[in-house]
Amino acid sequence: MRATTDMKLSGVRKKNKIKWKSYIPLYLMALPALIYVFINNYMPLYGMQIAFRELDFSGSIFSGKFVWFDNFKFLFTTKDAMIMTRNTVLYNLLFIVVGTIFSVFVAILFNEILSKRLAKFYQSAVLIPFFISMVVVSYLGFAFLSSENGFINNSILKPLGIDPVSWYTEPKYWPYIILFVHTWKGMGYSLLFITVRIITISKDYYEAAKIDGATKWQQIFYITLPFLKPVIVLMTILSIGRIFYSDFGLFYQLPMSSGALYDVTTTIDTYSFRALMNLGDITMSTATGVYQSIVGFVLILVTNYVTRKFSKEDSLF
Amino acid sequence: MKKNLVLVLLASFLVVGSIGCSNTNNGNSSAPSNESAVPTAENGDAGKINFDEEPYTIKVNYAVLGQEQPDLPKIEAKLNEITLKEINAKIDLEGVSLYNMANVYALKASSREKTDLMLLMPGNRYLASFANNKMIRPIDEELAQWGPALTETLGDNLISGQFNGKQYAIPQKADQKNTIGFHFSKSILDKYNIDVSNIKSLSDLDSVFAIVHEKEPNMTVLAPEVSVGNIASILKWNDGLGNAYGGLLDPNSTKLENMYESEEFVETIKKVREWYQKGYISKDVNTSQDDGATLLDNGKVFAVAASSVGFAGGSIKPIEKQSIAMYPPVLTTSDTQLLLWSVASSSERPDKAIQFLNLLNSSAELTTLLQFGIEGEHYEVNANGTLNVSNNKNYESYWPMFGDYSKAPLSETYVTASGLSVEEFKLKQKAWNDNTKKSIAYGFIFDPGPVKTEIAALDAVAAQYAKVIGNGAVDPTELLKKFNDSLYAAGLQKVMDEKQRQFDAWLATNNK
Repeated sequence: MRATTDMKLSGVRKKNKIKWKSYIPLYLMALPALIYVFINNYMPLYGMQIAFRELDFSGSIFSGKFVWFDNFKFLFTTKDAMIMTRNTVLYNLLFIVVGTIFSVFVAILFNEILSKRLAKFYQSAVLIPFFISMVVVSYLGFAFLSSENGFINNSILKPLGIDPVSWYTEPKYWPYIILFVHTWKGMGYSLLFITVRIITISKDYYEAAKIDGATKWQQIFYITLPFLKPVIVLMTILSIGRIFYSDFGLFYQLPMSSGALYDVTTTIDTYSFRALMNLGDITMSTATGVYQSIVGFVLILVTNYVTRKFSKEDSLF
Repeated sequence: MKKNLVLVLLASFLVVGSIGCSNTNNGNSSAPSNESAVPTAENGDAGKINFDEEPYTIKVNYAVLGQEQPDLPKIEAKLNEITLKEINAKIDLEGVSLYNMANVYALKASSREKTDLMLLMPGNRYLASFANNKMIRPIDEELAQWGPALTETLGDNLISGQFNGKQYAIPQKADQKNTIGFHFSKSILDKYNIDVSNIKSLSDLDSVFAIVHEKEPNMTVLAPEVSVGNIASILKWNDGLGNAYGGLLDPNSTKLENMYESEEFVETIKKVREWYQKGYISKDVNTSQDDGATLLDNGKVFAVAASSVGFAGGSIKPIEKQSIAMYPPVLTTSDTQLLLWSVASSSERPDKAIQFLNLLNSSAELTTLLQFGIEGEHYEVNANGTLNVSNNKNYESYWPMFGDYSKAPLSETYVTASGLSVEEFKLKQKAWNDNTKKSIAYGFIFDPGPVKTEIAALDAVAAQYAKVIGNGAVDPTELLKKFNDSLYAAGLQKVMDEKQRQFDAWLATNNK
């Protein structure tokens, strides 16, 4: 009895071995990337411990005295802690929701364009802002918003008889400006993922639906969107993992670091930059990074867990 | 701390005495003008420089504004000729942008990049934290052994390079103490026949600004000298004892106060707000990345509020400027800490680094070379001995960083603007320096270590409000209160208490 089970087991093992062997070329192909990830993302992990130490340049990276959570204090002591956490999280949630809806919407529109050449052209056109440096974008914004020479104040509001707006000292406009710029800049990139997925949907589904008399809307809701669900979930989980990070350029360069706007533009990244710029204390900035990545890591696990609960096949792991 | 200085100096003279056997050290006086001890030391008796070893390359990091310096290799080659001969070392110069100095140095230190001398600017911002982080090393021994010219030229200014009783840096000797005031564009003043020499208070400027604003509608009337600063903070005298959070509002006071709550500051910001509302200050002042000084030179701005007003009353480069002082010059610790030369902990040869600084402070040739470049190429010598630097395009030193400038020739930039002869100019400089008061806190250095968390939070608060309020862009009455509330919420009182405690202790040990 036992002998047969053993035989069976060894048979399975053997089968696995063969299977594993057949993957060797694939692993080899992945090797450079794996080495890169290991060197770039895993090896520096031991540096996380300096977040808990005193800064000491004289010896090695391990020579600073342990101060545990002292370096984290500056993030939490003031009322700014609340503001920057709120800004970071809410803006990111907004970006995830608005960005996804927009990208899906535009991707579907593009897909309906009959001329393939035009569709390609539009796709490239919306991708261009993604490659523009945030510093350049900030000056484009300045050309529009500047109080003295700005396009909006001088060429739009003035002819209409509206008083010029001092954009860089009025916080109330900035959530919209930031959302607009972020969507304008980032849409092309997420569009890529969605478009790639849409292209792979077999035309047969749409033809079958048409024969059954489905309208365009029904085709989108019952064929395209269900196919897009895994991509959207994947992108959302990844974005949630970075919910404690912010695009530094978007929140620092674009508002020209104007103090009057900090209530709506301060995020964890810009706050630590401003607080530590003069001190040059890398243990405290490491503390910020550790805090962000640990929260991000936990959030990824939680989101993935929730996703798995509801639809197992969409979860990451 | 003064006691410590005396000890250090005593020690240094003792070492000098014991190494230079032939040197009859007449008295261990700490007086810097002790002439007889020093020349012998300078001749190499203080410590014999070893010329048999392979020449060591000293990596020197100094502050630049970011522009390329195409002729730097030429300067280096010339420099190396001298240093090889004098101290058997080569110099490798590398500019570090003033704006991200902290990051560059932190990166160098953590990546173990070779660096020997690091110029800290502004030194008061970095000295204490770099010393606490052991990024820079104490140099008492090296200074005693290799730095006789340094002790001679700097005298009791050396104290501003100390931290916790140890010498961590060599301050750059300031040939004059600048004060706060205004620089005006001379051509505009002449054009409308405006006399600014009698201006005593900020209100006196109203009429001047009104004329320029009316006659030159396309010109911004007033801007802060540096874009990171703001007009009101520049114009209010304050010895911050290391940072802006709690300082002495008067050179004789020993009680720390919050500058942003003081009556004079409120008066100043009201005035600036008035100017802003009248359109004298650009609406984009808070987002501008251009320094007022640059805009003045480009003819875009008529006046800048500046903390760099010297005795000369103006300069001619690149445009003619007239300057007025709004406050008498007062020397504070942070003034002589503006430019600090420190030795990196990772330096293999701190002795060579100090030898180079020592050479720099004793050789007018080196100072001239590093400041002005090469004769015939970067400057011409005028008949009166001043230097004409107007054709210099490819090499520029932005600040007086290199040695003892009292030994080097003068640039005509200031001399010509003052309309004086070189001798008169030097006399005027001397009179100004003699009139310069020392703040009662001169020599005190605040150790921010115990409150660095609070200071980080305060830096973030100041970044939010100081510029908006100080440039008059918004109504200050309500915002100023909010600013002060936020400062206190971020721990201003704790920082002030700690600073006061350290200051009181310092006052007690120095019998003030």
